[in-house]
Amino acid sequence: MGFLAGATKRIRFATSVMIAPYRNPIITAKMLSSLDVLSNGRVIVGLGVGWMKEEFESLQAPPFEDRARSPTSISKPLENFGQATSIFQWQVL
Amino acid sequence: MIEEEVLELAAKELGVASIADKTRRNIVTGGRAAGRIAAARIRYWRVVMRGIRLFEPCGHLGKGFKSPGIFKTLERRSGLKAAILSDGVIRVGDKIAHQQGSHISHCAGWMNYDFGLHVPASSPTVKAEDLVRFAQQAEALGFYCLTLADHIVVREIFRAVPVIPSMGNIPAPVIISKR
Repeated sequence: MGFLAGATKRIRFATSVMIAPYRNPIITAKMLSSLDVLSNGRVIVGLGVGWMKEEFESLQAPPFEDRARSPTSISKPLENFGQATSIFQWQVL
Repeated sequence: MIEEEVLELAAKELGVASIADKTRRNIVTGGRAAGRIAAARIRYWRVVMRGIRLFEPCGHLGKGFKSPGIFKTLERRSGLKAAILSDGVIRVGDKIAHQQGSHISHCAGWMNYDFGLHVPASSPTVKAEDLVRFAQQAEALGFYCLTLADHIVVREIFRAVPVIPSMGNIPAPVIISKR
């Protein structure tokens, strides 16, 4: 996404979608906010709970079966994304 | 819609008093407006429209006008096709304002959708220069966004997907995202 943002000027970039249970929310928020600022606000973050069990196992993520049951699987990372930096604004659509 | 100035010039070139009732357009604009507002959002006092593309003369024109020269006369200046984004009444004399680059999120209808392309970054054959060309072409064509998937495991079997010739020979399924 950063590679292509550097090669363009206006078009936006969306994660379709970023799998929330895979990622550390603070590091991800830092990456996204840096990319958003460097691309002049062209980042759109799409978050999902994931569907590919092999990836959960490869990444040693929380159990695949629990990905949608846990109330924090999406809401907590989203909250942390928003709080991690004051320059990164987010909105639940 | 079509420009008043084009109608006057075309009538003069064809040697007739007027062709305003022959063009099958709905709105006549003044001040060379239609050409300038192509691909922009337009507000007619209360009604919001969005320019889609410039028209070329069509076959219906010949049915209402016998002079063969009318096709040549109106070539590349046969008006602007626009989508109506909001309810309202357009009256003679209404002012036209441009809203290029703005977003009107409350309007109904299919033009409320933005179109994006999914970047085929997980294709086993894709090269960096292909992705750059893909992104720059998408931007030049006016697509709203590029989407990228988030997978570390790539399936070995790829289904056939549509190919868009102008984007290069890259499989490119089109996605639509509602604003």
